[in-house]
Amino acid sequence: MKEIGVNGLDANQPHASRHKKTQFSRRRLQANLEGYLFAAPWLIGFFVFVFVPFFSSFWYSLNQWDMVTPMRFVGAQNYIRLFQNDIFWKSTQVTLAYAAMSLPATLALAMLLALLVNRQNPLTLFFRGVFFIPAVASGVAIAVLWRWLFNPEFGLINYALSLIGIEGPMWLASERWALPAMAIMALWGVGATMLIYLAGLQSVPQHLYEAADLDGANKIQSLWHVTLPMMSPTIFYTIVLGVIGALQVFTQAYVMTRGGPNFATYFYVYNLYEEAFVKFRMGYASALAWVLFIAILVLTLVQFRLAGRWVYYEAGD
Amino acid sequence: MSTALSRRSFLQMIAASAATGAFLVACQPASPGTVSESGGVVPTAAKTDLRIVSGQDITEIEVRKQIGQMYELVNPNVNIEIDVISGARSDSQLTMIAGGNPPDILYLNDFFQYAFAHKGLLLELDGYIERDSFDFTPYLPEAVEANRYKGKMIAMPFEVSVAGVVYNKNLFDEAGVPYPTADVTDTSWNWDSMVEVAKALTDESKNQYGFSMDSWMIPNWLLCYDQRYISNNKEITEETHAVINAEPTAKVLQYWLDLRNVHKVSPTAAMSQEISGFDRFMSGKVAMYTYGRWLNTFRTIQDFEWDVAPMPAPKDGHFASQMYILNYGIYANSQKADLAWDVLKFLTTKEPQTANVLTGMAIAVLEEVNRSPEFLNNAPPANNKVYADTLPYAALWDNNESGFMVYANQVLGQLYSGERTDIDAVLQEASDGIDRALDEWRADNL
Repeated sequence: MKEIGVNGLDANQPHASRHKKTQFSRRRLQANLEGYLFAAPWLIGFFVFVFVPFFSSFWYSLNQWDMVTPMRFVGAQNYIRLFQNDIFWKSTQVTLAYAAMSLPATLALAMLLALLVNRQNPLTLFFRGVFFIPAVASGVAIAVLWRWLFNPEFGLINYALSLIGIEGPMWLASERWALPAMAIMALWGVGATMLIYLAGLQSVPQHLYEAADLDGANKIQSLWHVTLPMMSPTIFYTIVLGVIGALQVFTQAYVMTRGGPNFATYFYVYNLYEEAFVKFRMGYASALAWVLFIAILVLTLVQFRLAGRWVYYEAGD
Repeated sequence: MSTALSRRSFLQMIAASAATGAFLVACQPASPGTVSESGGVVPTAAKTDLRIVSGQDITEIEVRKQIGQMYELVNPNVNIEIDVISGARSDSQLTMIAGGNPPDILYLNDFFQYAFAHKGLLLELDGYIERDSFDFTPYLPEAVEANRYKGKMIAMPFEVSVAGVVYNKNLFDEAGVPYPTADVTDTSWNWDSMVEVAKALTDESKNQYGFSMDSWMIPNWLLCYDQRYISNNKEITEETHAVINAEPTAKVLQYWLDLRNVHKVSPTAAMSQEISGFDRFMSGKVAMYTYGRWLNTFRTIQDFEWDVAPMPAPKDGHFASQMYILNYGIYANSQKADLAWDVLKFLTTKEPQTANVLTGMAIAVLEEVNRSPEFLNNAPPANNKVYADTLPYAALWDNNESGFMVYANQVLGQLYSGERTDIDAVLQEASDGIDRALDEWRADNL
C-alpha cells in the first residue's frame, strides 16, 4: 500500500520531496524577507523586553540580589520566606477582596450600559462617547481626580451624600473604606468593557429575537434566553481579562494611598513594586512575580475548564 | 501604477539608509583637537571628565554648575559633568549603578547612605584623609560624624539643614501679634505659647490657620525628648529594636492632634489631604509652618513678607531639631577616585560653601560660612541667625536602611489622617511593624 506522508506528499520519494521542500522553503523565505524585516523590530523587542526578562526573572527568584552587588544563590528560600511573610498574605487578601468587589460590579454595569446604548439614535451615540471617555484617560490622572472626589471635607462624593443627610466616610484615609473606594473608582472605567459588550450585542442575530418574539417571550426572557447565551463568549472574554487586570492593580495604590492606611490598599503588585524598586530585593520580588504568574495561569485555566459549562459558541458543536 | 515596494527597492532603501548613517558618523570629529590656521589638526590635552550628581531643583543644578566651573578654573584639565537625578535619590542612583552607568561622585543623604555603604558602593575615605591630614575641626561635628559608618568615613559633608518655624509677617501684623523670638535660648517660646499665638492667628471664617505641620516633621518634635523610633539608630545590629512605643512619643502625637482637634489652630486631617501645609503657607492661609532651609521657593513669595523663628520647645523637654544632611561620596569602583577625592575636598572649602548658601537653600558644613555676612544677611529670611544658632542642638534621625519607616508610617498614618485616636494602640502596632521590618532586613543583611 502506498504510504502517504505529511502534507500529502509521497513518503516513498523522500529525496525528491525533501529537495522540493527545501527549495520551496528557501524561495518562500526569500519571498517573505520584507515581511520578516518589517516584523523584526517587534520580534527583537519581544525577545529583549519580554522573553529574556521573563526567564531571567525565574533565575533571579532563586537568588538574593539587590542589582548592585553580586547575586547569591539561595534556592527556594525567597519562595519560602514569601509564604511566611505577613505582608504577602495581607497584599494577597487585599487584592482578592478588590477583585471580588470590583469585577462583578464592573461587568454588570458594563452590560447594563451596553444594553442602554444599544440603540441607533443620536442620544445613544452621545452617551456611548461619554461612557467611553474615561477609558482613554490616563490612569494617573484618573487617580488624582478621584483623590479630590473622595476628599472627606470638600470632595464631591461626601458633598452629594450630605445632601441626603448622610455623613460620608473618610474614604481613602479610612482602613475600612479605602478599598471599596477604589472599587467604586474602577466603575468609572467601564467604558472599554461596555464597548466590547456593545459589539457582542450587535452581533447577536436578529432572527433569534424574532423567533423568541414569535414564541411569546417578553424582553426579560429574550435577554435571559437569547442575549446572554449568545453573549457568553464575550462575557467569558471580559471575565478572563478582568480577573487578570484586577490581580495586577497598581496605579491607584501608588498614586492615591501608597498602600495605606495600615496596608488596607497594599495590593499584590504594589508590594512587588516596593520590594523590587524601593527595597531593591530583586530576587524576592521576582519570586512574588512568579507566584502571581502561576496564580493567574491557574485561575485562567480553571476558567477555561469551567467555560464549557456555560459558554455557548454558536458555530461550535 | 503599482505602489507595492519590491524586494529590490526595499533592500536598496535599507542600503541607502545605512550608507547615509555611515557618512554622518564619518563626518564627526575623530578626536578632540583644534584646527590650526594652516588647516591641520593640533592635538590638545584631553580633559578628564568627572561625573557628579545633583538634585533636580533648577537653582541647585545652577549652583552645582557654578561650583564645577570654579573647580575647572583652577583645574583646566578637568571637566565636571553634572548628572541630574529625580527626587527619589536613592533609587535613581542605584539604577544608574545597576545599569552600568555610575557617576564618580554620589549624592547622599543620611536616610540612605548607610545602605549604600552596607552594599559596598562607597569608597572608604580614611586613606585619603590620613594621607592629606585633612582637618575636620572647622566643620560641624554632627555633619562629619554622620559620614562615619562602622568606624570608616564613607563620604564628605557638603551641606546641612535644620528645621525652623517660617511665619507670615503680614498675618502677624494684621492680628496685632508680636513676631516670635529669633533667640533659640528664649524659653518663653515653647509649645504652650505657640498654641496661644496660633489661636490669635486663626480665623476659620477666612479658612486661615495659625499653624500647620506635615507629619514627616514629627522627628523634630520627638528629639526634644531625645526620643527615637529605633535603638542603635545609626547602625542596625542584632540588638536594634523599636523604641517608638514610649511616653514621649505619645506626648508629641497628642500635642500634634490637639492642635487640630482641641485648639483648632491647624487645618483638619481631611483638609490637609489634598492641600499640604506648604501650599497653605505659600498661599498665605497659614501663619506658621515648620520647614528647613533647603528650598528657595519661599523666596518667590510676592504677596507677603516672611521670616523664620526657632522651633518651640516643650517645657519638660529641650530645644532641638533634626539635622538634614547632604554629603558627597565616591563610587567604590570609580576609575577616577583620586580626582574625585580632590573634588570632594574642594567642595568643603569656603568658596563653594559660600556659593551654595547664597542660594538660600542650604546651610554650610563649614562653620565660619554660617557666621559670615554672606549667610546671615542673605535675606529673606532676615533671621538666618536662627538656623546657625539651631545647629548645635540638631541631631541626625534614625538610620532607615531597613525601610522601617514605611511600616511605621502605615500605622501612624491612621493617626495623622484622623481615623484613629487610640495613640497607645497605634504605637504598639507601629512598634511591631518596625521590629518586623528590622527582622526582615537582618535576615537579608546580617
